Amino acid sequence: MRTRQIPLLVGAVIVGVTALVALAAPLLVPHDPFAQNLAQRYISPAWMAGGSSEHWFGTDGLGRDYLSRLILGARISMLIGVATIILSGTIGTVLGVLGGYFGGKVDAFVMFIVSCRLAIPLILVALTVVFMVGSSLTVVVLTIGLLLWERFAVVSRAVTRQVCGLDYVAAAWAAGCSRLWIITREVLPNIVHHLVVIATVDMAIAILLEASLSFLGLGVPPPLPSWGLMIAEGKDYMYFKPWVIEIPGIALAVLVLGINLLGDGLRDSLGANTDR
Amino acid sequence: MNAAIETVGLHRVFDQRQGLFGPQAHVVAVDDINLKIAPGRALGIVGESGCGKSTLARVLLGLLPPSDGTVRVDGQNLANMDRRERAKLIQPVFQDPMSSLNPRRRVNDLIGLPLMVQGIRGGEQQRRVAKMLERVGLSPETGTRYPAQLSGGQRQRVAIARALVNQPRILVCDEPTSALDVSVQAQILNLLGDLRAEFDLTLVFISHNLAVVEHIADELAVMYLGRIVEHGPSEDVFRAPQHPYTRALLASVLTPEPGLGLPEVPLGEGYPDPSNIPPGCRFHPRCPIAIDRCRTEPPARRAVECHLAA
Repeated sequence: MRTRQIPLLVGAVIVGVTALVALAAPLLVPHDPFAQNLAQRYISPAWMAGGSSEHWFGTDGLGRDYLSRLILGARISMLIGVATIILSGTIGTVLGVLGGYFGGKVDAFVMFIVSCRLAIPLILVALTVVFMVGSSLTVVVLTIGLLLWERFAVVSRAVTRQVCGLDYVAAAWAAGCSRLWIITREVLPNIVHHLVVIATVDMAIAILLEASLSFLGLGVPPPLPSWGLMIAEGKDYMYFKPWVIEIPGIALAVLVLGINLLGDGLRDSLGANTDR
Repeated sequence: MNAAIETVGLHRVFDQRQGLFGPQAHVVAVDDINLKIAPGRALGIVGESGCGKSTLARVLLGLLPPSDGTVRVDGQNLANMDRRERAKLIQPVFQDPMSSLNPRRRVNDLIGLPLMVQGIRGGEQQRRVAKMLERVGLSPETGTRYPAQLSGGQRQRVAIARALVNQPRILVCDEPTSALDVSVQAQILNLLGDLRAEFDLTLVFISHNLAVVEHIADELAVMYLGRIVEHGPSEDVFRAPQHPYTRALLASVLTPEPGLGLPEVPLGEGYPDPSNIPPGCRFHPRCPIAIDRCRTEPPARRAVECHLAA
């Protein structure tokens, strides 16, 4: 195996395992992640003094099993990541491809919208939205998804322009193909490998954003266990029970690292497969 | 009988801004070109890089709208034509077959695309694609390959097959052999010559290579800075060039004989800036025989645009 494929493999394993855990979460949890037991607050993880194999990762401030909450949290983080990039990817790609393909006024309009979007501070908008309509999983996905499309738009516009300058687009036009055909069948398949990379970058950003929002109390509402919310809930005990924030923090960092490694690896291997 | 292609007062101007607040420059790539090509004839267009020959090809194909003037294909205005009608009449072959073939499609689908657009699918499409593959000298197995798995010559054969599969009347070839090895160039030229006779094609053949054009063209048009400065039967132009630019072009052809060195070309300074065309005769700064009149007064619009030509 070539060495440059190792990051791709590591990333794929991390993301794959997290995705599997997320999908099978209800089967994997050893305890009910919502069951409180105030007699068993802050039990240490199994590898520390006072821990037991009853609660591998200990319990949180309300006596809920930490491993179970971490597993369910993976589901929420992955759900937010995937749902967000589907939404933002669609918006950004449509805008970018239209701007890149038609150029001129359409392009100027797309770039104007992108500039407007870049002028909006994400956290501030999220804060306002949550204040106005209240927080729920749907609101978080919609807020992040509707705000995180600018990278898709900028990249798809640039690569669309590049592809449109190639003669096979001219040849398809000369063959009498419609614009819709040219965009969907000639341009899109040839830019999709760039979009996959953006999707991974944005997925990592979306997951981190959700964690930030939850940490600020604006994300997923309790008692749903998002990893960001778990860090937020544990922050008062940071100096006394550091593992309360270390466990979800490490999980978050490893997942984001895995997604980024996967994206880098995909860029290298997908980009090359046109010269089979 | 209608001319296969006729252009009337064809112009194409590109606006370019130099820097953010710089002045707007107009590059006149195609300047008042009037051409008439009879059906079945082959017109060669030659000129240096940057003289506007590729822009002319794109305007003739309808890929770029003209800034002014009209292109008539078989008597109809190209700008008002339905895309399917246009596709059945006129088809391109581009220079670089690597970029003219979608890398994500198999050869069969690439050649079948023009048929699919006309609603010819399934078995009928497969049959005609297979026939065309064989006609351009490719094996049936080639049909299942991707362009990246083919050689340069094979790719150009695929591009030619795609252009001809729907039996168009006109083929516009923009430097179809320049990206190929010398050994393959002759094969592709011979193939184009054979197909031209077989399909009764009208050919517009654009090249900077005079030897290639001489091989295939009945008529020759010499382009300089967006204008056709000499136009005539290719035999006459090659034997007795009238315009000093044509003479210089012919003199610059490299000979295969060793020991002769590079030819002496009386063209002095480099190619002028197309956004700042010289006044008078546009060729005068490089013309070895220019007189005072050439610097101020543009030459009359005729087959040979030169004050001093007979």
